[in-house]
Amino acid sequence: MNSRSLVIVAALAVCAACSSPATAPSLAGNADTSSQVTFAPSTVQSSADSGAVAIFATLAPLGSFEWQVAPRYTALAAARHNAAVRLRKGLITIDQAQKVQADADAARKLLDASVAACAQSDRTGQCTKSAAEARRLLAKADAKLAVLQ
Amino acid sequence: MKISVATARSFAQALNDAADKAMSEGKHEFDLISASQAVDNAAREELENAILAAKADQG
Repeated sequence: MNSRSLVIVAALAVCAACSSPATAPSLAGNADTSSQVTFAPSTVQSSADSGAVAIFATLAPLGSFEWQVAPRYTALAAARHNAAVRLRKGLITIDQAQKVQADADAARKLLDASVAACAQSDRTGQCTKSAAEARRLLAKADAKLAVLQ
Repeated sequence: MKISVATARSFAQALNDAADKAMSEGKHEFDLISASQAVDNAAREELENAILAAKADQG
């Protein structure tokens, strides 16, 4: 499989069997070693009222810098989406939703800065500038993401 | 949990746009980070719209 052809997936599926109101556990680390592909961390949600499931998942070449970064962008998107849903349901306040947005924006800035610091090579998937700085910024972004989880 | 058709289309459109951009630049490979950023952009817009709608409901 051409690893460069892999794309991020933000899929919406409807599952009649998914009727549990609880949030399903995150999926993580299901590596397909034969094709050097990993199914990176994702968030799966379900609800009793509609049976709809929102899936945010990222496929990326194993071991590349984008493999480290892409799931974090996906986590951000999931956190924002979750907040929007909860706000529409009246489960959180406008202030709480705005705080999620602000925290997500702060994490996004750090992720973008990390991407810039790395300047990943398309050929090797490794950082061409400062991998150390990229990792430092990723760690800071993780601290912000932890607040959103 | 329901997700509006508009939201689903927004995410799908974000990915389509990223793919179109890559194609317009003569690339046959997908820039994963750009695609990831596009999806987050769509999610950010969704939350912003939800906040605005909630404020409007409050009057």
